[in-house]
Order: sequence, then structure tokens, then C-alpha cells
Amino acid sequence: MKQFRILAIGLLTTGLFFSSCSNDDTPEHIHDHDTIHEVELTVSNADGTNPKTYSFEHGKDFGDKIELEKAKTYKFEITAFEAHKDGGHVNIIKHIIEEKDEHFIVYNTAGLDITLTREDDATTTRKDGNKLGIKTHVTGNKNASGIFMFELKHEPTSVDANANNQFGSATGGSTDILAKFPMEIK
Amino acid sequence: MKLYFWLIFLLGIIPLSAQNCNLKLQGKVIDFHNGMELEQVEIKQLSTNRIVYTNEDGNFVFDKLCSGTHEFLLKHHDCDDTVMKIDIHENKIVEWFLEHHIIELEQLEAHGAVKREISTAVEQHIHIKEIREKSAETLGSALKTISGVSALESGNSIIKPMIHGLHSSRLIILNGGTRQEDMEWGVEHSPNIDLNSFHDLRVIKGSAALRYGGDAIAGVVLAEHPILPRKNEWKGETTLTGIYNGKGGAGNLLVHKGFNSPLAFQLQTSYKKHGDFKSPDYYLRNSGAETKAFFGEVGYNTFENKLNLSYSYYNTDLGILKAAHIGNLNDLVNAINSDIPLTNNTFSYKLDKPYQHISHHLAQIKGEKRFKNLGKLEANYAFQFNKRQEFDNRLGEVKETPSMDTELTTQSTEAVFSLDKWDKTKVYSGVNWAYQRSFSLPETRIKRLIPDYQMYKIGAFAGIDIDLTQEIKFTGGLRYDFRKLNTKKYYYKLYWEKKNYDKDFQNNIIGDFNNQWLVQFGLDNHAVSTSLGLGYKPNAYREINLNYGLANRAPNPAELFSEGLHHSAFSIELGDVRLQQEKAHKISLNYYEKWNILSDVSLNVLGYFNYIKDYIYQIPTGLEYTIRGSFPVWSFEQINASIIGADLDLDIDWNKKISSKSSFAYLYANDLSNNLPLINMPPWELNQSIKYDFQTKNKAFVSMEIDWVGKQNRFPDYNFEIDVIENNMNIRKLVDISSSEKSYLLLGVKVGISFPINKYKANLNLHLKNISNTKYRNYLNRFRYYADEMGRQIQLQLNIKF
Repeated sequence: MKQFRILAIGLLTTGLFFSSCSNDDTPEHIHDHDTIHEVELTVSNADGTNPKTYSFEHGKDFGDKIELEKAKTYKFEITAFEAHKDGGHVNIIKHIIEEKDEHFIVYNTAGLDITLTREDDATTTRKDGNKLGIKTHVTGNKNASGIFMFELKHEPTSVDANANNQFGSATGGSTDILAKFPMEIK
Repeated sequence: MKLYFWLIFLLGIIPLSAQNCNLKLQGKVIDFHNGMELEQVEIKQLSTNRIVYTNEDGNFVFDKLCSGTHEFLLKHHDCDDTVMKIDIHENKIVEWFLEHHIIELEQLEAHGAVKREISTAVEQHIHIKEIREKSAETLGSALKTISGVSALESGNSIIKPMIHGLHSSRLIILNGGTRQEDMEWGVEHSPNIDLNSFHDLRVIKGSAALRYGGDAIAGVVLAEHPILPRKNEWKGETTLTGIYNGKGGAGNLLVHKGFNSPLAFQLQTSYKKHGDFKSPDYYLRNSGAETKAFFGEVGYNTFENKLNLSYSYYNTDLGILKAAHIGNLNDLVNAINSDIPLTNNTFSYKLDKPYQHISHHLAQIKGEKRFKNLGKLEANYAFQFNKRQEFDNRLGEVKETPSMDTELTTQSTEAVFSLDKWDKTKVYSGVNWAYQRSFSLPETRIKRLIPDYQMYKIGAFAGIDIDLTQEIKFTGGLRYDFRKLNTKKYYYKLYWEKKNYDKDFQNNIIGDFNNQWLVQFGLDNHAVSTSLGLGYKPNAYREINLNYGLANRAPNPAELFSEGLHHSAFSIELGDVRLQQEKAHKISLNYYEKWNILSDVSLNVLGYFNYIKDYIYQIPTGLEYTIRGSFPVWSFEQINASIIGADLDLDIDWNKKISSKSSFAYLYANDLSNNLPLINMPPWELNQSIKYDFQTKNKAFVSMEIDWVGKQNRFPDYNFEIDVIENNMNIRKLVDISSSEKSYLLLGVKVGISFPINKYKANLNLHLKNISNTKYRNYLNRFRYYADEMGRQIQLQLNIKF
């Protein structure tokens, strides 16, 4: 009889659970906190005047088209990694800079002839002396149109800021950002 | 028991006797379970040590008894010793019942012939000895030693068992009688079970065991704890294992105690830890793991009544190979093209991100009541709580916050009545209920991988097991399942439209959150599953079984609701709420033969054909651009599939000293809808071992093992090309995610010896695996693109029984 009683109690308890849990609450809406959905690149004259912002957004193959004058040096600065935070946006570039020793930016082009120099100051230079690559100077050498690209690498095993004429190189690690901008030099 | 005595007492023929010491006790000893008379039962009168034995009809006579209370000790080779107490004041006829099943199980288990779940469905076992040998490994790697069982792996610690090419929600694992619920829907979620807490693992290939569910398209693994002891003594064992590769080890301790009464308990705990494993050429950075587990059970078990309470706890941290943590398809191409992982390949015990932190609690109460000459009623209630946290590389404030933090709570009850009063027919019937709730903590600040849901499951089943003749058996089963799944999920509007949900499910939308809809679903599934079996066993040397099973599996939450980037699986996963139930028809024919040639030769061949209608699988269906670069999109789709295969086991005892075991498995799987081979199916595998037993008192042996795995030549080509910018050029590169890996052959050697330490029995084993340090990759390892498998392993193990 004991077993019957246990069984009965067991079934009843389950019944209780079934009924008490049937009110399914609406799940809290989560704003993706740290997923970067937009990257901003600010291009200005070498002295910082006349800044223009170019954006590369999640879900798109390319960002805004960048137009440069041939033989003129521009200041390029990656100014924003926009992430959602509780409905609004938040620029998490400061976190990248805080964790600069785990990060590195590698530049690349397709069909372009440009000179790139890393202009990072101490705040954006890694402990190993490699400049992160957030701030650069870019000069277009020939009339051309092509693709200007940079990648933000996370935890690469080795980096070299001076490799490939300061475009930089990195081995291993994972790619956090891959931003491609069409670029025209004329 | 008293009730029976009184009944018998009242019914008995009671000749009167005037003499005080000339009373006669006549009786019959009967198997409580099936009512059979028990022969050769020793009955000892404890006051005089006088002994009589039952005859072939189970009858006995004790004469010259004096008036008063007498105690008799009943002994039978298949039964527990039992003391019967009786008042005798006149001649008496009694019926005494003995339970012979507990011991029978323990005895038979040692010989690998436990009573089967379904008498026509052949079961294969991993016995305690092998479980102990694999103490430092996982459930998945232990099960792989059975022919036809392979595993879907993510590195060397996440091993999901696979039967005949099928895994995850298609495979039911019974953890001490309760269906394990541990988010088995994830490809990189391995069973959260401690191998060390079990005494026996039984594998039923196929869906015949309908009692446990109608959805076991792959099969059922019954993981069973040791049976509680009777004797009033402390018993136990400890196993210490050291492993060279991974520089780690495992410790296991089991103690149990009986009280010469129905009461008994057992406690078991284990701990294991290792650092990074090493492939032949480099360390596999972040492949370490740490596991803590505990199991405790207390039981009060008599002939008629059984009540057991148990609790098990499992806690593990599993590192995810650093090399497998890549950002986008460019990284994947670089990884595939690089011979060695592009990570810092030095040894460490430290677990870096990404890693998984998982805990599983299971508390259960099981009751059983036997009814004389009728059968038994079993009932249980179980509570399970599974918590999975996955840590990834994150930035800023959420750096230490897991990117997945999901809790799964399951409550289940079951009641089963088995009617076994007849000798030739057994009938069982029962019901299961389950309620499950999955909840993801919003504190992760990442869109949930699967939505929060509530699931209700009710199943009712009945089965029959008939001996048609002495040689022919028939089994049949029928099961009905109902599942209700309620969920509220946030869908990206983009995805919602892409899947055309706006046409079919617009009425399910209950909220608008900028770029997302909040949608409510209540999905109902009904299913009827059946199993039929025919067995022919003319003698103990030959057995042929034919089985048919129809199993139905409702889609799991990942298949229905995945949406977005699953970083740990390196893919954008898209589920489909329109998915229907999978329906599998499986026919299998098993042939067993044993010959009295050499010392002993036995062969088991299992052939099967599985046709699965609406088989759910995940295939690459395109590329998607994210801010990280391009990712492959893996969609859950439904097709019709067929799997034909065979498992073969040949055991030969060449003479008293030399024995060998061979097993072979092959399957041929097709996507019938697209006329392609089926993705991720195991290649052929041949396992051989030959053992030399020195036949000495210390049980010394040496054995050699060969594991030979073929190349899977049948795989669908889902390769694609991506644009990569390199050297001022835009180049197209092939991403080869489809090609299988080369065939490989691994050699192993095992030596062992037994010796006493004081009064205890000790075993010492040395096991060398992959002796030649062969470099290889495994097609069924999801990390095969990134690194080689583990190289040479040396394991030293000491087991002491006390």
C-alpha cells in the first residue's frame, strides 16, 4: 500500500507542477550587449580638419565608399565600434584600447596603391611595442579604385606592425571585425 | 510476508498432534517471482543445525519438531539467504517464497547475460571491468567500444555517443532508470554523466524499448548503478588512474553497506582532471578538463517492496580547443591550410576561454511492489536540473559573463505494471509524464541561442513478450506520445520574413521590439510508435532475432528555433518552426552462433535497414556577412534518409590462455531526397584485440589492440568559395568543409596483474594507446579542420577492492 500512496503523491505533485508552471512568463528582451554591429572610420586632413565619417554595418559586404585625392595624406582613425546596450548604442572602442595587448589591426587592399603609416600614440601602442593601428596616415599614390580593408584580430599569437610596409601582419587568433570599404583615388 | 503466512496458515490442512516433540512441518519453496517450485533449497533448523533439502517439486518435510517457535535458514544458490520464523503447535503445511532475482542479476551480470529489456532485442554491454578501465574517460568514449556505436566529437573531451550514425535527441540515455535531460540538442553538448557511478552500460540498438520513449530512433543506453548489498559489512573499491598525455588523472571511490536487512546504502564519488592533451607534434591548447561527481543511494528492499532514493551530481569544466575558436571563414581557410594550429601550442592546466561549465543534478525516488503470482508495479519520480554556461571571448563589462547561461529543469514520473505470473507470457504497461522548463538568464546580454520554453510530455505504452514455443519468442509493443511545447521567442524581423513566417504565423506575433518580433508558439505533437520482434532460439548455441520498430521523434528546440550566430559551433544556425516529426522504420536481423570448437567461438552479426522519413539534419545553405566577416549558414532541413549497415562481433577463445575479440561496423547512408550520401556518417571501423592470459594465480595478462578506421568515401560536397583580400588582390578561395579524413590504424597494448594488499584485492593495469604516436584526424570530430587527434597515451591504473 505504501507504494500506492507514494505513487499517488508523486502523481499529484506532478499535477501541481504542471498547473503551477503553465503560466509562461514573457522572457526579458535582451539587447545584444557586445556584438559590434557598426564600425566607423573617420577620415580627415592630416591636421585633423574636415573630418568625414564612413560606416561599415553588420550584414553588408561593403561599407561607404571613400574618395581620396591622389598624393594627399589623410588622417584615418577608427573612431567607433558600435554595440547595442539596453536599447541605445555604445561605443566599445575604449574596451579594445583597454585590452590592446590582446588585439591588433591588420590592413589590406585590393587593386590600390597606397602608403600607410601607423600613427598610434602610447595609449594605442601595445606592450610589445607594436602600434595597434587605430590611427594611421594614408596617402594614395596612383589613380585607382579598389577595396580598403582592415581586420581587428583578437588574441593573435604573434603580430608585426612593421610588416608589409606597416599594413601589419598577425598569425593566429580570431577575427573580431572584418571591414571592407570601396575606395577611389583620383 | 506475514500476511502470506497467515493466509497459508488459515488455508493449511491442520492435523492435530498430541505429542510435543513429534510435530511435522511440510512445505513447498516457491519462486516468488514466477511461482515456480525451487529445487535443492537447503533448509536448516537454526537451533539444531538439522538440514533438509527440497526435492524437484520444491517440497520438503521436517519431522520431530517440538512445539514452539522455530527459525529456519533457507539457502539456494540463486537466492539471498533468508530466515523464516514460525510458531508450531501442531503439524503444519507451509509455502515459503524466495526471491531469486537480485542475486541472479548480480551473478549473471558477471557473465554478460542480464535479463534483456526486450527478449528479442539483443543488448550489448560495457561491464564494470571496462568501466573501471575507462575511469579517466567519458561515457561517450566508453560506449565507442561497442560495434556500431561511434561518436560525434568536438575535440577530445566532448564526445556524443552515436548509434548506427544517429545521435543527440535520437538517443536516450537512462541514468539509473531516469531519462537523462541535459540539453542533448546541441552538437557540442556531451552527456553530463559520470561513467564511474555505473556498474553496467547496456546498449539497445534501435527503438524496441518503448518503455523509455517512442523517439529512440538511434537506440537506448541503460546506465545502471551497482545493486545495493545485503550483507552487514562495509564494502567498496577505489580506482586511481594516472594519464601521461594530458598529465592528469582520476580517482574514484565507492562504498556500500548492508545491514542484513532490507536497508542498505551506497556512496560514490569521483574526481578527474587533466591539462592540455598532446597530438604527436604539438599540444592541443585548451583541451583540458576537470570533472567532479557524486552519487548516493539509500534503499529499503524486500521481496515485495522496494523503495530507493538516490541523488547524483555532475560538474564539469571542458576547455574548447583554442585553435577551433576562429572569427570568420578567412580564419577557417587559414586553419585548414595550416599544418599546425595557429595558436600558442604550449602545455597548460589552465582553462582559457572558450570553455563550458556544466552541472547536472538528478534526484530520484523509485518504488516497486511485487504482487504474489501476478507481477510488479514500479513507480518513480525524478527531478533534474541542468545548468550550462559557455564562456567566450568577450569585451569590457561582460568579459567574465558567459555568453550562454541556460537552465533546464525536468520533472518526470513513471508508473509501469508488469504482469509476469505466466511462464510463457509477460505483459507490461505504463505511463510516463514529464514537465520541462528551459530558461536562459538574460544577464548574458546576448540573444538566446534557443528561446525559453515549457514542455509537457505524456506517454502511454504496453508490451507483450510471449514464448510461442520453446524455441520461438514474440515481442510486441505500442506506445502513444503527446508533447506540448510552449514558447515565446524574439525573432529578428529580417529572419522572420526570410523564412516566410509572415505568411503563416503573423497571428502568433504578440509584441514589436524595434527590429524584432516577440512571437508565441504552442506546438503539439502526437505520435504512435510500435515495435515487433520475433526470436528463434533452438538452443543455447544459436539465436536469430528479427525486429521491426517504428519510432517518431518530434523536433528539438534547436531544430525548431535556432536563429543566428552560434559562435561555439562556428556557424549561423537557422531552425525551422515548420519542421515535422521524424518517422523511422527500422528492420534488423540479428544472428548469434556459438561453436564448441577450439575453446569457445561465438559470432554475432546484426544487419539493419533504417528508413527515416522527414529526417532532420543540418547542412550548409549559404554564406552570410557579419561584422566579423563571412560565416556559413547551416539550416535545419528535412529529407528522407536511409541507413543500411551491419555490425559484426567475433569472440574466439583459442585455448585456455589465448583469446581474441574482433568487431566490425559499416554503414551506407543516403539522403534519398537529394540523391546524395548523408553527411557526418561514420566510416567503417575494425577493432581487434588479442589477449594472453598467463593462467597464474595473480591473473597476469597481456593484450594487444588494433583499431582500424577507414576513410569515409561517401560524403556530400558542400564546399564553397569565398573572397579573400591578399597582396592587394581579391582572390577566390575554396573552403573545403566536406572532405573526409584519411584512414588510420592505432595500436595499443595492455598488461595487468592482480595481487593482495593485506586482505584486499588489488589490480594494476598499464595501458598504452596509439603506441606509434600516429598522426591522424577523425571525420566525426568537428574540430578536424584545426588540429590532429591525441597522440600516444599511457595510462596506469590501480584498483583496490575492500
